[in-house]
Amino acid sequence: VRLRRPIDLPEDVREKLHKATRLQRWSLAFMISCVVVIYFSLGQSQAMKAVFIEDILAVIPPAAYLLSQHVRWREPTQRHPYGFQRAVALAFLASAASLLALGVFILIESVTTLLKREHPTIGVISVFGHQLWLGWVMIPALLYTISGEYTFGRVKQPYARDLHDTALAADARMNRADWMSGGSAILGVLGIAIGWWWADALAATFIGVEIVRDGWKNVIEVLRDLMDERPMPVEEGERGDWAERLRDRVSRLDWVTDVDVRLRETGNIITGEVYVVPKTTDAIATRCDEVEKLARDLDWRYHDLSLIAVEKL
Amino acid sequence: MATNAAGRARPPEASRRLPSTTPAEWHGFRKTVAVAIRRFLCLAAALVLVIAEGCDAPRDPRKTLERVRGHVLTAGVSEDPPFIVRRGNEADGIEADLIRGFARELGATVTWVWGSQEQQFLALHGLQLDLVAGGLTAKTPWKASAAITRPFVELHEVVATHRGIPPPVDLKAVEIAIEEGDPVGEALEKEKAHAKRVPHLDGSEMLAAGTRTRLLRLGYLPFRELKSEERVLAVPQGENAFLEALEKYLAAHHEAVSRAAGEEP
Repeated sequence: VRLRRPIDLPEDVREKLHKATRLQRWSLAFMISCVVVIYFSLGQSQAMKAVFIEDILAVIPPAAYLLSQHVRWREPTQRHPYGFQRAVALAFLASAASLLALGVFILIESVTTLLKREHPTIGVISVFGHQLWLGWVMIPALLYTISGEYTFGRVKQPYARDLHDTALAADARMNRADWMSGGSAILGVLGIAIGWWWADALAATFIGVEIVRDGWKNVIEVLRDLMDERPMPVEEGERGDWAERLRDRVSRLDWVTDVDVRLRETGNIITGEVYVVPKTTDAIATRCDEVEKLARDLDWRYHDLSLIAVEKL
Repeated sequence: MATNAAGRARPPEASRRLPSTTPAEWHGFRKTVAVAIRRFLCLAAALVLVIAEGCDAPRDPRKTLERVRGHVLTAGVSEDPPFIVRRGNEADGIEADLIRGFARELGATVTWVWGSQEQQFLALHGLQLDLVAGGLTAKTPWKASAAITRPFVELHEVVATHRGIPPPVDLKAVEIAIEEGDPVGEALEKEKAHAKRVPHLDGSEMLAAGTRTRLLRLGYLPFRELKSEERVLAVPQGENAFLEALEKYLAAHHEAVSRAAGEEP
């Protein structure tokens, strides 16, 4: 079979891709450190348990991203003539589904804790020979994770936009959910400290809702991706008018009477068909390359477009 | 830019072989993170100090510490010699002394309540008792409905010989005395030893098994360790100020208790 052409990224996008990959390595290392820090300050607090589970899950997106980097840019093969760009969606689907499931689990557990009026117990730990209430250790631990998650979330957003990377955008959103959960967990611990036993379970409930919402959004998004949704902007500030721009550009060619497009996205790239009513069928063999070239000049995301000549649209 | 024969860039090559990080490139980002983390940690330390000192936190949702201080600590206890020994309605022993000492620190006296442990835990959950003690281990199934302290002592179940009797090389088929109903019997059966169950263990047996603390007091010489367990106390769930006070007291007396029990602290 005829293989899809390897993807041709402009220099600046390649540069950004490298940086995003390095950013994800740092992010992965940081999320693992968060899991360790939270593990050592884990008491019987519901909210802390929820944060712990969420932090473990937050390791998945950067890890999946890095893993998919190894697969997604592979050149198309005889067995996979369209290439491996969809690897991202698969990694993304796995993490979204587990996020959703665990969100539901946390929600159920914290609501039952509230209903059963179970009071959270936080004991004392020994820190360098000093006996310290564990709650006072939880707060700095949570602040550590929050500060990093907030920063990473913000730094990832422009990369997600410029690379048109759904997985990266979802990861940035997950970082946002993470630091908001951390914030509610701090409120929960402070609540326990001043004797409000319900504050902890309430905070855990909010975290559960946040995770369920995040998981649901991600699952829907990745399913839409896999169902060949039309290209959508992955991050605020990204132009989403790929169909319109391509149609306008092609309609200005002198051999074109009328044009329409049908586009979908796989991974970072946008692919699909360009339906043209030609004035003439002269030089029809070279027209396809011409359209691909002008599309790529318009935006690097267009890749492997098919030109189809039709009588009328 | 790496190009192939068709003159196209090859992202696959690029993503597999990333150029090594130039120090300047990521310096800025790392600095941002470091500053953010340092600022947050300072804020955290300040916040914790202010709340801990200013608000007298942690506090009890149901005010156990306030209620006990200067009054009475009601402790539900079960016999577990030599840690808790019943003398009429009073309690003696290492663990009983520990509880009495804690109450004294709060300016309170102890009322001992003897009875079934399940009833005691139900009472503890409903705040009818302030503390439950007597042979509780860190793995107690009551964890779910009560607050369990950190271990105040680690005990060892051992096999010991009567003074002057050489220890056997192998426990197989050897007759070892244990008190009727002592869980250590299971460990002996695993060793294929023959457990001789006596109604009350005293110093007259050739070989005996039980906690090291108890056997030492009966004059035996331990030679073989079977298993260890950590002893804890239970207080009402979520009464964090009371738990904090108790755990700090236990930590301060951990060494003394271990020594009294004949164990390494």
